Amino acid sequence: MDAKKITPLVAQYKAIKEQYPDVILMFRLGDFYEMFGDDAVTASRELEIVLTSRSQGYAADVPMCGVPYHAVDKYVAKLISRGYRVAICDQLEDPKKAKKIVKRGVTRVVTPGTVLEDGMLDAKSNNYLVAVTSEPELYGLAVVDISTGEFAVTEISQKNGSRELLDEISRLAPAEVLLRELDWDLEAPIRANTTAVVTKYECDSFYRKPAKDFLLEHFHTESLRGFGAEQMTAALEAAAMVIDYLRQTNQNALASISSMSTYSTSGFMILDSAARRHLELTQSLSGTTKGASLLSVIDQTKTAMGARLLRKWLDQPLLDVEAINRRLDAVEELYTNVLSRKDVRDQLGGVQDLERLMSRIVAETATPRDLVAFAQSLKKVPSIARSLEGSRSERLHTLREALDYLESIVELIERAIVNDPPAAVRDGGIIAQGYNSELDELRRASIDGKSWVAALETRERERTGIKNLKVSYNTVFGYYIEVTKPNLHLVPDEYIRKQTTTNAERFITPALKEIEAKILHADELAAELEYQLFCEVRSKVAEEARKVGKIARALAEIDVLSSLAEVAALRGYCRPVVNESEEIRIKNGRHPVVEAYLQERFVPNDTYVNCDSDQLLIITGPNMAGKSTYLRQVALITLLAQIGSFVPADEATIGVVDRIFTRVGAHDELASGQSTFMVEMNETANILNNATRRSLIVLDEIGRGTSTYDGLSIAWAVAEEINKISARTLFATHYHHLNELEKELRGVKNYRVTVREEKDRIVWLRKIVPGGTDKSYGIEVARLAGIPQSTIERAREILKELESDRTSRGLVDGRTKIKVREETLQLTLFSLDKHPVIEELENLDITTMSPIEALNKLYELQKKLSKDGLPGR
Amino acid sequence: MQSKSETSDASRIIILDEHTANRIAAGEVVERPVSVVKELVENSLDAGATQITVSIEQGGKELIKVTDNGCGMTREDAILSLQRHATSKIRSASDLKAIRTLGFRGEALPSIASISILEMITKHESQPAGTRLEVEAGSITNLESVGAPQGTTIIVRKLFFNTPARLKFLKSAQTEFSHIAEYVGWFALAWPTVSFRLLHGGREVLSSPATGQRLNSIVEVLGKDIAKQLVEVHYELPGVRVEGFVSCPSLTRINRRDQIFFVNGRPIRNKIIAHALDYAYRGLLPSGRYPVAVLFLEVPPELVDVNVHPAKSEVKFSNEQEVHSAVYRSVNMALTTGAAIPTISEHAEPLGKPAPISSEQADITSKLFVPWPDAATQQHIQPMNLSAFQEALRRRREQALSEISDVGEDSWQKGSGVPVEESPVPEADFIAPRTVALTGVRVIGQARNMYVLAECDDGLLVIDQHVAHERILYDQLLRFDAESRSAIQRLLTPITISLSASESTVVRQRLDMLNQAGFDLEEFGRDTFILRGAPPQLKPSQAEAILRDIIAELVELSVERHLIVRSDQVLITTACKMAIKAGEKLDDREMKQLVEDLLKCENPFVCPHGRPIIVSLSNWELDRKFKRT
Repeated sequence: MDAKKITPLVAQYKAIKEQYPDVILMFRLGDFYEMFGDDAVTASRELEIVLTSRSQGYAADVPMCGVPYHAVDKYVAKLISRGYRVAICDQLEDPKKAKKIVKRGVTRVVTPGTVLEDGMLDAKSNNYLVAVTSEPELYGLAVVDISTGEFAVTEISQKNGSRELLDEISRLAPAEVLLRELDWDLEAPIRANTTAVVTKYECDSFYRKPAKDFLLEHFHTESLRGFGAEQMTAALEAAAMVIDYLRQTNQNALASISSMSTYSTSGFMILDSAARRHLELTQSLSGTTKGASLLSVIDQTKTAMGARLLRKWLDQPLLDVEAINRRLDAVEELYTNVLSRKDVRDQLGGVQDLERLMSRIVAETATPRDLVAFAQSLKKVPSIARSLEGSRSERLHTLREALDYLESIVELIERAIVNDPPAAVRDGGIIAQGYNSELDELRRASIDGKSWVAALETRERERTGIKNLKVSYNTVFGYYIEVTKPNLHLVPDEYIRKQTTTNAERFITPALKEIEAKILHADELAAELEYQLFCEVRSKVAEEARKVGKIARALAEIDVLSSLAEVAALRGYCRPVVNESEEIRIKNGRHPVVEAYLQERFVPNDTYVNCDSDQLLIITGPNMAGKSTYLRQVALITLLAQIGSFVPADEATIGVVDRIFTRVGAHDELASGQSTFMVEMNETANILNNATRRSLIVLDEIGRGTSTYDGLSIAWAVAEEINKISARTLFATHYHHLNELEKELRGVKNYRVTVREEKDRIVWLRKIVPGGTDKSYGIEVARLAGIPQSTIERAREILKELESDRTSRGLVDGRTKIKVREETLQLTLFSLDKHPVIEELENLDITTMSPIEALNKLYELQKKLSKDGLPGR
Repeated sequence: MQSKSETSDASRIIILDEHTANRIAAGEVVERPVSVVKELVENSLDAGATQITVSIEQGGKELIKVTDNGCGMTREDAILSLQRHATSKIRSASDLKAIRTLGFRGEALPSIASISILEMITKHESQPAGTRLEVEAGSITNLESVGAPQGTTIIVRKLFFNTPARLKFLKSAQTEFSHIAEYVGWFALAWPTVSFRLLHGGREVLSSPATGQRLNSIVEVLGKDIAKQLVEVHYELPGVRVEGFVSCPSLTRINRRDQIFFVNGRPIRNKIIAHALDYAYRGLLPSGRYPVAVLFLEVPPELVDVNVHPAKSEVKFSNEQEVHSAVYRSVNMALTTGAAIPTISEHAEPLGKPAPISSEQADITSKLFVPWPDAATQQHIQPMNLSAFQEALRRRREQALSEISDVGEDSWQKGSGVPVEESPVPEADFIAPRTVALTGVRVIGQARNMYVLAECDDGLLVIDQHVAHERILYDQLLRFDAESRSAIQRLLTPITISLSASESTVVRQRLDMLNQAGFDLEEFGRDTFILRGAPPQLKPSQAEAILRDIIAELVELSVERHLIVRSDQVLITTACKMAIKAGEKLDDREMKQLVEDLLKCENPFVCPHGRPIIVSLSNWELDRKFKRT
């Protein structure tokens, strides 16, 4: 393109665009934000807006499209949700005052992880930005949510490769992840495991300070010891990345990050992403809807802050028995004290999202309505504290102490801002009467002016003798004097005609216009002053960010505790006994999600599992009979107990579990290019490699997705291995041969789902009772499904044959039966591999052998065969 | 529970012999949906259930479903239960004397089955499978095994489908449901160790968990605001034990609706208890006001006759004196010692302290109340002590006014558990005004500058001057026409009225109605209006103030209801603000004019807000009070 022929405007645009190549640049032109070139094509497609083009002198037509400035937020939100990043380029000076072209610059780069605007955020979940760095053996991870001000760092070991890191990232479910060039190999797995946008972090200046210094500067402190992160070099590196990135994209947001905390993933029960998904903790398996997840059932929170905290609790069940019991004590107290609980929840209903409001106040984007909502929310604090007076449980007591009433701010806001302010910030109508004398003066001047105008009517009527002369107002002409046609002859000379209507004429006078100008001027000054005063009030409130954060966190926890109590009362849950024992004992347990959505009553079931005598429960029975539900309910009850909630059962004793493993269902992972069986083996391998004695393992059908004998043998071997690990395990399987294990191994107990056959149908009793199954109901289920009767008959015949085949070889003694089976199995394996003798035979080069050598070889081989009988010994 | 131990017998249900069956007057067991609910819930309770869920559709006319986790029934018992006079609860007539269980006549289930489409799912712990039965008009149409948890579910569909006569007598779905809700609420109060849930059309109306504490059930059923103002009651005499909660004198009601009594867990009406309650509050309440009370009495079964009424809601005590004494003393003690309800706080002020009664007040109130020893009448008679009368009336009116604005929320609040049919007019315990014809009306005078007293052919009338005038003005405003428009009085100087942003919005939305109300108002700059004329009924000096009053109230209404104020609301508010107030002295001419104008109104009995304008005392009633009839 010929540089000489480019207009200054285009040059300005190009210069800015060069700095932001991978980002959609929105360029403010008059009342619109315009996009050019590829940006425009993309935007037009994603936003469904019209694409036009503009010629630039002699240059080729450039595609462009635009959106009106006042609606820009919603368009930006849409682009962000599609994974794009958007740079907003504003006019930096008043167009009226500009000399040549208006100065412009990028004020903001909006990325998924750095949004602050209410319309782009989901109230009930955090919006995390995560940065990842690596060092030998360690990953550093920093996570920030600028809308709430949370900022935390941690380090994760690399001993399991990137698995732990990926688990933690998927737990956080961030909107955006930052990676350096040298860690870019993590990009694919991160994208596979989460819905986050992965952004490459570009270090801005070559001479950027070392991470530690950078952070010290940001937090204005002398040392990082206060944050507990002095030695965590990888974590600090990640933290510095985050701060720098924010500086590049959203300067204002930095102000809301006033402190940093460290955490460790080892303080919580470990749940990998598969477990989270299979247990449907925060999302149902079927889709991304929140319906039919555990969270949807136990979330009765009244505030957005509470909802976010509950989600966090669900993702991080505790391991410390005392901490768990502290929570349970608080929940119990709120459960028995219906009056207090209802009071607290009523009050909480009037509390808005203090965390996000505060962040907007600090970032100077809060509106007058935000401030009023903020004050109204803070006003609820004393009554909430009162409702919790005399709480006996430690947690409630502590939380109550944290409820500070920031009287001075509330009073300031109430004094300064009217009760029902507008949303706009520059149009006045914000500041209350009596707050500022200068403002009051200006308003008085305006009112006085208007009274003068009103009185003008009477005066003019007398003066001119026009009895029905009227002084009126409209937005086009302002004030005017209206005289009906019949009276026009009485109109004095100094009246200047402005407008004619059907029955009247409208006039102005110089005096009238002078007063009107005075009124308008006063109004203008007043509006400006109001804006200034508002900003002052806003900054004053921003100073209390830390205190408000503390209060907000306390309110959030009170909300969560009372929500758990409310759910317990509503759904008939009981308080679990949580201790360090090795058992899980549940009486009449129910699946919390299924029972909520079921039309008929849920059939409860008992559970008893520990680390020795009843360690591996093998549950057999037909499909559709309730095995999966049973398995999941045991896991969910354990999890609920360890977050400090009551559980759906008559009684429950839970010995703390360090990790829940799940291997559930044939969930196809076609998207990641792996077959069902492969995935299953991966997950099983993970379990066998990582389970400890304190883990809880829930296996729903191992050995599907491959041939029956293979599957059975793998299932068998896995069961044996788990028995050695001694982790508490529930293993549902359709291989009822596994029932044999009860006799062979200590700790294995058989259970089955009961069904009853009646006339022509199967009744699912849904009761789990001790004992193995001797019958697989596969054929009956097929019949119910509608397989034609003739096929069913044939199947029954074949089944009879197969079963009699097996039994004829088996003998009375159970032990012998197993042995025979073992042999059969090994024969199968045998047949797959070539026997070593055959292999040797194959490899013999008989052309070079002498007869004697051949005979010797034959003798050797024969000896091999007769001695062993079978290979591998 | 007795029936549980009895079920260890081989045959748990037996057929009563003819003789015994005859001894029991069956009567009409099933009158309406609430009777069905009552019987089914009582069965559940007798089965030892700790969780009972009642689901209703269309007020019970379409569906009544009661689910419990009690002991359930075996397949054989399930079939037997549908036979008449079969019960597990008594064996012979002598057992009647020792009734502790609630249902016993063996009538309920078969009766219900005979007039509905019934489905039963039940499972007993002795059997692995549950049983499902379908019954239509008394005969079993389906019987099969089913997987189910222990307990029983009874589903009653299309009640009275085969008795159209009874079907016609049923009231609206809402009315029928309100009876059910009331009854389930009573159950929840009586059984704090059982959790109750009530749903209507899928929506949860009541949820009372089993915490074992009566107060928690009261919070759920009556609401936490009432619960906060209750004091605990506890007293025992040989032969009767009283427990429960009664309200502080600061909390009163206009009728006895919130007085709920239980005897041995059964909700009942009883005049002895009611009277003893009233007696204990003597001197503490304004006339016409009743306390709230939830009282649980335990009386040995042989001293109570429960068979008095087929619906079992009335009982007769053998030891009336003791019962009366116990109730009176228990309530008296609670009120005088002001025992606080147990709250979380140890240090909080006891809520139950009744306000100390000054000696002067006590003097007045003692003159006010003459306790009536005859338990047959439940009203008190007040002598014409005018100042106390007026004071009581004033308080009563205030209460009535606050209740009217509450009625919208309270009725539908889950906590109150008793959705009431929306009626803006609180029930008066005077004779309904409409029984008095407004003929031959003659003004007698003005009482306390608030009421115009008049006589008519049929009796005496007391007319509230403010609401009467409000009604007159409102009707006038409605009839706005060109004539009225020209009657607007011009202001000497137009007045500029500056408003806030929200006020301006409301005024702009309803400028037309304000004009119709008689205010010549126009926009005059930003958030400013110019007032040129006001309704002729106003004095010009009042115009601005009254207009600002109206605007303030309209803003409040619009905020509350989150929508544009209804046009008639503007007129109502205008009429209200312009009308003569209580406390204004009226001369003879003004009173006459007022009454004349009032009688011309289409509805002279109720003001546009729904409050009563005329209260009447018929000649007959008056004479009766003086014992002339």
